[in-house]
Amino acid sequence: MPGKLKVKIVAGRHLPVMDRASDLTDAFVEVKFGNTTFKTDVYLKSLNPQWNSEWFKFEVDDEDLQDEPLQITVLDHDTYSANDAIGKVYIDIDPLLYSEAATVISGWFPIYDTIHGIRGEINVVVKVDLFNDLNRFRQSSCGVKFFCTTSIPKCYRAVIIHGFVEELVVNEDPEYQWIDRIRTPRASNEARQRLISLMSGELQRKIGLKVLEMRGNAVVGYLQCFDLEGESGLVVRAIGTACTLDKLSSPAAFLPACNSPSKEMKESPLVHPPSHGCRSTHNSPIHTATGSRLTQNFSVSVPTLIYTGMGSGSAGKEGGPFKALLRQQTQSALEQRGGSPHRFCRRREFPFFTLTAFPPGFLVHVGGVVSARSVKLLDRIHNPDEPETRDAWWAEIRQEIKSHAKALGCHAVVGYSESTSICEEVCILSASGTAAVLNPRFLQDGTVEGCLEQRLEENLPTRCGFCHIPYDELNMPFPAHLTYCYNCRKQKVPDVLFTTIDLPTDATVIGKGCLIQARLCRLKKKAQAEANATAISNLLPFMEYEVHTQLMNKLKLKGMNALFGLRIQITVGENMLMGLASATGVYLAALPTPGGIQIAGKTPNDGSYEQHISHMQKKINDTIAKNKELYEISPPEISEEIIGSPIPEPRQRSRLLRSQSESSDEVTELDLSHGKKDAFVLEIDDTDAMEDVHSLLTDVPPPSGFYSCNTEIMPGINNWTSEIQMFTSVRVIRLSSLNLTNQALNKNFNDLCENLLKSLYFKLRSMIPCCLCHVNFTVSLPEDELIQVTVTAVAITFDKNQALQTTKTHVEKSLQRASTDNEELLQFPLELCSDSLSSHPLPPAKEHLESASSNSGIPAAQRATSVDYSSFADRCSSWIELIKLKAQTIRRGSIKTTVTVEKASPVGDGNFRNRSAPPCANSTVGVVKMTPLSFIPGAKITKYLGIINMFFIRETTSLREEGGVSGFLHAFIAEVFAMVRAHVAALGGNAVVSYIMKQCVFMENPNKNQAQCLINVSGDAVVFVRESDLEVVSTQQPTANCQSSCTEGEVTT
Amino acid sequence: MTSELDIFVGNTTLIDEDVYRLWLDGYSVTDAVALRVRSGILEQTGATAAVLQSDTMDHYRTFHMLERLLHAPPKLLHQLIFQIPPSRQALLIERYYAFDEAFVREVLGKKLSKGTKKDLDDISTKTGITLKSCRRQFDNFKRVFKVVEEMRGSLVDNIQQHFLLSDRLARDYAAIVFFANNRFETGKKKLQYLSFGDFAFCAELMIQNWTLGAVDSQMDDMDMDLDKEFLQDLKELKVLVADKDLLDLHKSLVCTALRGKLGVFSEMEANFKNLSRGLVNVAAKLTHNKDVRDLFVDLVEKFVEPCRSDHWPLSDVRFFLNQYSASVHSLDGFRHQTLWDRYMGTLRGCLLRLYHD
Repeated sequence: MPGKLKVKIVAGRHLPVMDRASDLTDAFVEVKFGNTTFKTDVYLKSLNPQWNSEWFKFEVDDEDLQDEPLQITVLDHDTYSANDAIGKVYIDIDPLLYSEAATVISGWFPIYDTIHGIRGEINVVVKVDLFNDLNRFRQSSCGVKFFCTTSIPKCYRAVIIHGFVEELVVNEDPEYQWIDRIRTPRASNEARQRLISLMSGELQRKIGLKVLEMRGNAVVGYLQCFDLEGESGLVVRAIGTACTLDKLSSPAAFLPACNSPSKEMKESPLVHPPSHGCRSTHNSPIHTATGSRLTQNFSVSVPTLIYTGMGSGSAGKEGGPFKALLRQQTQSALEQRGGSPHRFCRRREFPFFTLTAFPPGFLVHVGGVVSARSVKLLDRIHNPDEPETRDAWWAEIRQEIKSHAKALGCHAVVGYSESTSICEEVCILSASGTAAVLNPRFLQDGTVEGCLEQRLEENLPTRCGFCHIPYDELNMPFPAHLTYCYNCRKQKVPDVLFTTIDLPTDATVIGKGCLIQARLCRLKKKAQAEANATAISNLLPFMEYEVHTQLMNKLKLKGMNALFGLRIQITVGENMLMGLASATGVYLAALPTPGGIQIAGKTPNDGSYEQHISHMQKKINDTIAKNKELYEISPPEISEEIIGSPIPEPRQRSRLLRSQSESSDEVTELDLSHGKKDAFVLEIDDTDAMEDVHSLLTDVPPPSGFYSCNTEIMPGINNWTSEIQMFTSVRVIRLSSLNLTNQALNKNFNDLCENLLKSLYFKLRSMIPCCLCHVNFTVSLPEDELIQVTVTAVAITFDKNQALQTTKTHVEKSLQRASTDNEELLQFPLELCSDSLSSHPLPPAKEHLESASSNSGIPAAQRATSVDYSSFADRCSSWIELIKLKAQTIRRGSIKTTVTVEKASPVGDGNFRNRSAPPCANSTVGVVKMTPLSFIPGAKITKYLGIINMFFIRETTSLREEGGVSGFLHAFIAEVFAMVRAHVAALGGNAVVSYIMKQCVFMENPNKNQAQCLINVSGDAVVFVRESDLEVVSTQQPTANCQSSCTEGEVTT
Repeated sequence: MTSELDIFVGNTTLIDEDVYRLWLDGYSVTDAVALRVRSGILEQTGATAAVLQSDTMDHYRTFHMLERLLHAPPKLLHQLIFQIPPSRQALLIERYYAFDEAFVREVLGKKLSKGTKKDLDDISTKTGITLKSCRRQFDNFKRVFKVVEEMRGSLVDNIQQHFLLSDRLARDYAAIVFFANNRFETGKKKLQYLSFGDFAFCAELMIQNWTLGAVDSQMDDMDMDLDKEFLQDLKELKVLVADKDLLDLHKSLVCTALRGKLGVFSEMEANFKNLSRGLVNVAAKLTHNKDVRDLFVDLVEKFVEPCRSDHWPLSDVRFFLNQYSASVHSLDGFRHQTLWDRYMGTLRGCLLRLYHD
């Protein structure tokens, strides 16, 4: 499918003065694609040149179209000496390669120079004409859509979720080539930028090919990363989840016709329609497995912990082509032992999903977090075309993750991500995810068939279903403490649940959530090569253990019982290791009430000491009580009596412990392993432990009106208003090298993070009440005594008064939820969920499109008025929210009166969107919103324009003049934002969602007055329409049908 | 543990109005932090001094980066680096170009050159405005002056177009530019009682009536320069005081009309010739640049002070000036009625404004 790329250079503005004599510039432009270059005329003596060039046409292969960026260079013409470069613009033309996205790129782009930053702007128009070519052996994958969003994009429907795709490409880093010694820093930076752009293009194309091979048409949760391995090269790797997506607005989505997807993608006839076999196979509900499963000693939450303990002995050299292959953890012996490793289709080696949020019914059970790390020594990549070494490394890690998951009785891993930390020649590879059991309805045939057979059709998945243990209780491989689910009383649940995914939309949460972080530093001796790697390997298990303990303690201190969005980052530096775990704690209604934290002293019979202990204990208890109040955690205790189930064990146990704590002698007998009890005992046997307890209590809650979480949305807050503020904050501290102890280091690191958060709260105080969402901390150790913390998050305001402001996203969510909602109502232990509804339970496996039937929704909504607010405030508020939303949904659906009720919601919604959405939100011209979330509050995403993936280098040799390191980096980050916004605007978009700053590598040399920074960002360019704009249309057409539900919606609020 | 680097960058640039004011007022970060602490912000928000320090630094850095753009406000609107809502942009610009009354009185009518810049130190000491702020205000005056100096068309419109200022502020700048261009003396001790507003009022009247643009807006005109031809013609008015008959007739016309209406009639009658001589001589002298500069000094000396020493109430001054200008129309021997109206119309407005304590 070769194509013709057409470029027109229109004008420039705000150009820098290049000729000191005249204070003007004689600018011209070079347009380069591949090996072809065109030039515009020189526009003499102007800082605002009007070139208005002809169309420059490049005839190229689509392979090149995907790989190469369009390179535009603005120069100053000089008759006597060489022309001076003003700056460059790289334009990724990938979004033009599939018809659904942008059709033209047109707009003002900042002209960027790696030494001077942004220097004026240039107006460019880019178009692509593609020719159809049915060559089966093509190397391109035009037409495959890429999304950074880690959920099914808002205006699409997942027909099939195929699974994991990964690829990596390697190359020499231009910065380390011999030629770098003789070329200018600018040339070197530009070579690097260009190479990375090229490599990511190639990577994306290769991933696209794999997707086509799997017969998918899109990659969701696409995460691309760079490993700057220094001397040994440059690795660009990416993972994602291959899917077959249908555009919701397209009526074809509901026809089982095979040609529906290809209609949508005219240039990619090879994209196959979904194979419809999968639909018919899974009409039966799936539920927990019993029977003989793998038995392995895993703790529920962090199986790695156990692994690290076991595996430590095997850390050492392994053979092979590597210089040294040190592994922190054993190659899991599971495959040989229990499970059958080849249960999964060979075609899809790893049943991993990079998604963190799922269509309703997709997630059946969640086992817990699985993670694996390995320490490698980097070696020069000898042959860039054969990146086998790196491939093998990752394959190994993935294998391990897979077996961990299997040991938890899970056949899949969701919320999967990979990362690296490099220091000199040592590299830590990490992978983590959440072991889960999935509903195979969405997966392509064969993937999970094996597991299915074992499953019994015991029960319908409910909203608590995902909490239920996937592993076998009788044959439980590790000392986890199980109770009956507090929601359905039928299945077993663990006492705590750790996951890397977002909170499922149908989960019942009590109160609000909060950001929980565990922070840890460990000193390490400076060492070389293998000794260094061994030292790191030895430290890792302890770090993981401690991070886990901290998380557990803090979770208990908050009175919560589950963590979502857990991300543990281990960073390696010259002389230390840093661990930072972030997660969002919540209280899941289905899980038991967490016990308190018990403090125990080691030295008995010392009065003052005991007094001290009891004082501490009181403080902890007070904190827990305070937190419960703060986060509005008040679980409905009566539910136990209503159901009449036995009082769960943990309560007794916690009481028992409390009584024991009086005599310190007995305390020592307590088993310290996490799983066995829910009351946590902290032993204070030395000053270290004392410090730990202190640090627990020093975490200051955010000021009132502020909430924070690292997941997409804050559990317990629904009424977002439309004001958002995305930001990046960077801090670097220098440690005094004199008294470096673990303790001092921990304190410094802790203070750094806490102060950073405090600063954020202060800066954003004008937005109160607001919530910091998707708080993403990244730690790096750029030098011996430097710690760098980078935070990106979005602050979203919300309406404190719970006003009737249901955002579009909620409507969508309620759409998705529709099927499970009805069941939620059934499970709700209140009289209002009574007989009439339970008479027609909705099987979860039935097409969710049809399940949003308004006939069951409306009565439910009406019933809502009878809820007694005061007694069940927590639960009801969120529940009412759902009903309110549903009312909204129904109203929306009923607009299209000609459509039958069954089809109403998605079809009506989609068409509605088409009819009412203006092609582009004119009211917000110029403003481009950025958010790390997959949605925009108060707005509806109408179109995905393509992926934004940009890499910039900035260097300075006049650091002081640019305001020091802070001034330099501040300006650079602002420039990066500007360039992202400009690209989005040029694509015709008005927002970037799922924005992420994947890398921010900062190096300074103040003595030489130099600094350099590399930043890599990505996201999805979208068009959104304000909800208020849509609302106008919807209220214009009230129908008799929706009347009741409309009023209902108002009443319930 | 020392903080090496500490930054916050929002997709929408955060602007703290209070910190902006402190920055504009030329306070150092340390002083600004101290002032903020004193405002009680720590108690309100529960923040620590370190947080405040970091926040202030951050805002200062942002303002520093914005300053380059504020020098050419249209650039601020079109630039892509900082995403700022339009209302905030307007606020940034308006505040940046706002000036202190005390400062403007010191430099009004002075040449906006480097020589004067050296005097900023003294002005800073005298007015208590920080040197930094003085420098910003001075540079603003100079920048606006430079940009509109050679431009055609309405001065206010030009300023508004190139600096995106509010109407009020643009008018003030027009006055400043006009005064600087004509180098009117405003610093004499006699003139100290006059406010910037008084001068700005006069400037506006003069721009409207005495410049080239006042006669023909199509012309290759500039609002900044007084109409040379008009100033030349003003010599013709001398006849009003030089010709004794004309002067007497003028006096009798005014006295007849005002008899019984003026509280200070006798003083007026006694002083008429002096006052008229003063006003007409001011006009006749305007051909020389030096005398143009002294216009306000002359007006105060020749008219405001004599009246004030006789305790004329403002209403009487108004009656007198009205009658004084109108009576000239009844002087048969006087041929320069239009010229007189153009001169006296403006002067009457100015004098009434200047006449206060």
